[in-house]
Amino acid sequence: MNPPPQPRPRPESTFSLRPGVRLEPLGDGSAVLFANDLDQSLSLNHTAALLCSYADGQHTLAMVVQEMGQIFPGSAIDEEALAACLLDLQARNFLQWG
Amino acid sequence: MGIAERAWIVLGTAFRCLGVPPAAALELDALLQGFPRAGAAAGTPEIPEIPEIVDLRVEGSGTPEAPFAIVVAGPEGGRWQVPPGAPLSSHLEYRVVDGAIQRTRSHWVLHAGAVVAGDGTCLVIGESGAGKTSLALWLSAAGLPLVSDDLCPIPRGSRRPEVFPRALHMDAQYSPRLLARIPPRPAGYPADYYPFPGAAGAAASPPPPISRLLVLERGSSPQGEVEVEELLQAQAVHHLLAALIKGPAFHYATALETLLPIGAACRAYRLRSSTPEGAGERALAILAS
Repeated sequence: MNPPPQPRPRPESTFSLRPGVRLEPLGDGSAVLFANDLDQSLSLNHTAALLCSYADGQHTLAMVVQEMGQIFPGSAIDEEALAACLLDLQARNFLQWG
Repeated sequence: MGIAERAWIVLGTAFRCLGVPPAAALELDALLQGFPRAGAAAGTPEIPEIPEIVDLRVEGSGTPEAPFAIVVAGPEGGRWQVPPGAPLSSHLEYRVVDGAIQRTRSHWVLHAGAVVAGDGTCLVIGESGAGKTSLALWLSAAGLPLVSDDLCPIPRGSRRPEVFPRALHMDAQYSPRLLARIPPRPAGYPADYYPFPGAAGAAASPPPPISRLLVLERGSSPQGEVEVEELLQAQAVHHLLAALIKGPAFHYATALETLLPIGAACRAYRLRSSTPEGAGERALAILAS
């Protein structure tokens, strides 16, 4: 049975990595996210790695969209895709809101 | 029987095999011939410090009424029945190697083949049956020194693997083109095994740091097409973690301290091939680039 769909986060919601979760950036822009208590890790592509670098409890999704827009001028930042990625990380117990 | 007669050091632990019938003892000697002997065996220097000695004792006579059993002493030991008709030597060899992996606190052990390619070591990982042994042998036959066939120990905190001279387990159908490239199995060598190459074909110790990773997958193309995809470093780390044997000493954060620098320093490729020849030729091209 699939878990119930998660509500879309509000743009003013901040997010952070759950305590015990570590982000390990790698030289090619990818990163490994791992949770020691879960004995699980995720390999993140460049975009997901960059997104997780904002998971500090200070940034909101709206701020991330704005900052990514400055990093990639001229590129359309897909807010829906970023929100979906964050919700997926939350569902996997790597990320929390607020 | 003294320790010099039938004891081997594997990953820092000495394993002494007691009560082994003569025929199985000869096979066991062949299977473990690449590992150093504990004590002063004839013609070999004595290894003075052995932190732990584990005894494996064979019980039974191998008859249907009294099948062989292997009793391993110590807190991580146990008693394992050998199925009637099964070769005692291969069960003993497995217990020695598995016992070494379970006991080591100084190494991480990966399910991986490995060869030296240029100034680095290339790891070959993949699911069981993906063709790791075939590829390792293909690369070895092409002149790349063999580091390991299916188990590759890496000292914690290091990027340099260690040569693991375990006999190669070859119990499947292998390509005639592959078999034609390697020396024939020595007469009398245990069935389903192939000797780890001697000094001419094995890597010098210690091998160079790991610089390449090949993730092998079995393809389904009837034309034998080979698909190659370069992987992100994070994917390399993920595959390394998946290949790690998670014994009693496994700890995620500690393992990553070793594996993250390896993933960050190597170029990794997914190699999908339906034939060992295809995988071998493409792997050689990647390693030459």
